[in-house]
Amino acid sequence: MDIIVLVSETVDTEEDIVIEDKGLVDHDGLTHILNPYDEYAVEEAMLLKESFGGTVTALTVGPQQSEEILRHVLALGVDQVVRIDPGERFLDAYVVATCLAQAIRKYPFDILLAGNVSIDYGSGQVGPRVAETLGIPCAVAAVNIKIEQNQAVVIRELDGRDDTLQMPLPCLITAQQGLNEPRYATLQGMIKAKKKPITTVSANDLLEGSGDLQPQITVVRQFQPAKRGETRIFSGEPDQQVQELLPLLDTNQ
Amino acid sequence: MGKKILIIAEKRQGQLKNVTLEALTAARKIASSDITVGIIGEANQGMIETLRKYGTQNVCRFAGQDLNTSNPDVAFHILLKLIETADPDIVLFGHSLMGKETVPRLASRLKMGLVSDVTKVDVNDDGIFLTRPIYSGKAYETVKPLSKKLVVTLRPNNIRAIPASRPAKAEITDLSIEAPDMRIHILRSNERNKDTVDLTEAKIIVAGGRGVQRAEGFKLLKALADRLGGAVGASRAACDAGYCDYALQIGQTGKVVTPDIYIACGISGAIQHLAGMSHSKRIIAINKDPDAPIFDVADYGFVGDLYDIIPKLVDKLSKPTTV
Ligand SMILES: Cc1cc2nc3c(=O)[nH]c(=O)nc-3n(C[C@H](O)[C@H](O)[C@H](O)COP(=O)(O)OP(=O)(O)OC[C@H]3O[C@@H](n4cnc5c(N)ncnc54)[C@H](O)[C@@H]3O)c2cc1C
Ligand SMILES: Nc1ncnc2c1ncn2[C@@H]1O[C@H](COP(=O)(O)O)[C@@H](O)[C@H]1O
Repeated sequence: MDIIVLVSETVDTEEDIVIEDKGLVDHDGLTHILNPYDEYAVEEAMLLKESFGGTVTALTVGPQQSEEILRHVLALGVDQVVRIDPGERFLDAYVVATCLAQAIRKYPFDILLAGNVSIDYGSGQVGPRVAETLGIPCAVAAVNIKIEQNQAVVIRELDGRDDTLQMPLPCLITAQQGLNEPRYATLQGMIKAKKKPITTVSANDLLEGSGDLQPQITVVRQFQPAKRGETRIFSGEPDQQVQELLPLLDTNQ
Repeated sequence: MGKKILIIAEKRQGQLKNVTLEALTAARKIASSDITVGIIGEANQGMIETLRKYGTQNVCRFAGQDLNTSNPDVAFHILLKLIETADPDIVLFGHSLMGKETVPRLASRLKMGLVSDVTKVDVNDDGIFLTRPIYSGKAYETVKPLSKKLVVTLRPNNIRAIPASRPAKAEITDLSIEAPDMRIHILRSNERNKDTVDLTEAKIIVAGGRGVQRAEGFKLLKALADRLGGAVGASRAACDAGYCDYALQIGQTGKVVTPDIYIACGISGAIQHLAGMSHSKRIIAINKDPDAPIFDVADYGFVGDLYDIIPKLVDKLSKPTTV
């Protein structure tokens, strides 16, 4: 079974976000990590490979820096990794999905896995957009995946309901927390990963002949939320606290 | 500016969800006329009346057809039909099941730009500006569409729903669709959150964390929520511990909520939890540990044992109030 997993880098959840003068997030010195949902996607890809054999290929669209996450997924056991270099393009979900779909056409696959959403610009668009561009069925927010007789049976958990969906391969599935317990990279894995190649292809080459690719969205500015006021801390006897709490429970105040 | 707008209505227990009225309010800001609402499934007189009040010119509905939109293929084909009928410049959705699952596919098919999880819509001479949280709510961004046609999903409870100054016609068109060619089949469905108040739309949320320590504790939180006309939510740790169903989870992997009042009980305030609630209008935290990070975002903090405070509160509020 050949599996492609879409991975993206994101800013570490614990980082403080600072806006620079031009009104955009300042990325200097921020730690980047593999998007946490992509960890589930990579783990599921490894589990499927372990059950069915085949290869796992990870794709990302991003600048050179995103090779760090490709090294990381190599260390987790992914067979080959590809970085699509976007050049100067602004990466909205449409541009990313178009580049990915174009690249995927060059690799045979049975299943495509992605994260449910990225935790930085979190819109959850890329997976379903890629599926639609390739004309394959798609299920989002999977917490369980079983492959039986060329069909994927997926439990997707979204908005307080869970449904069990069945669809034929090839298909795309996005991973929700709970799908599995991602493994850690072993020292051995990390050493091996250092020696493996990272394939780079340029978006320009991929898109040649398919017309100019323009983003559908532009960012006007980024900004910090309004500061919340000081926290008023109450303490003391429970009875007194309850008295102080009561008036705060009125939505009209 | 004369934009044509299509809003896909959402319902819960026979009523329109608030997010649909919020979308209508936003739509009137963008185009004061030419607003169509698409309703999937039953559309009763009360709903039509409400749509009229909020400035809906046209209503498209599927009369008498049993359409299971929890199948993404069915949802997709219905939405294509609605868009083909209304021919909108802009389509507005709530950022819920359909907004997350089917809308990105739809935007891709129709070559429309899609801005997801929007909390604010502004319109001026330069066009439409959409504001949305990024980095788990640690920042915001304002974006502008470059595509001719646009889809927007709205985060509930962020735009204040206001009726139109004059009611509109809400003229009804009945549509029907052929059973679509389906690649996806639903084998089983399980609707888990049957609470009367929808968590994403609740004005008051009483949320419990690992500090609640046991499943019975959630009954206590429910008693408080009922007294306040609110809903119960939870942290991931509380769900993991089996104190409550995952349907109640709030945060990055759960629901994102923006209630008027959020009462965090025994929740430490991990960044993944804050991602789901930090924009609540008033945050009240009850926690034993004065150094818990939840106090950094709380407007009011109560340092103490929730089991000392909440039963007393429930007692004091013993007569149910609707707020
Ligand atoms: C990828 C990823 C996604 C995640 N998504 C989510 C998510 O969507 N939502 C989410 O919530 N978490 C999520 N988490 C988990 C998150 O990191 C925290 O582990 C979780 O939020 C902690 O829950 P908690 O505050 O209930 O528990 P704890 O951190 O254990 O806090 C319990 C608190 O209760 C207090 N307490 C104990 N007893 C009492 C008492 N009797 N009275 C008052 N206070 C008391 C303690 O002082 C403590 O502060 C995610 C994690 C990851 C890695
Ligand atoms: N630049 C990218 N390269 C490869 N995959 C991506 C990229 N951006 C997003 N994805 C995939 O799409 C998922 C959802 O991302 P998003 O649509 O940005 O919320 C991620 O978890 C990844 O699996």
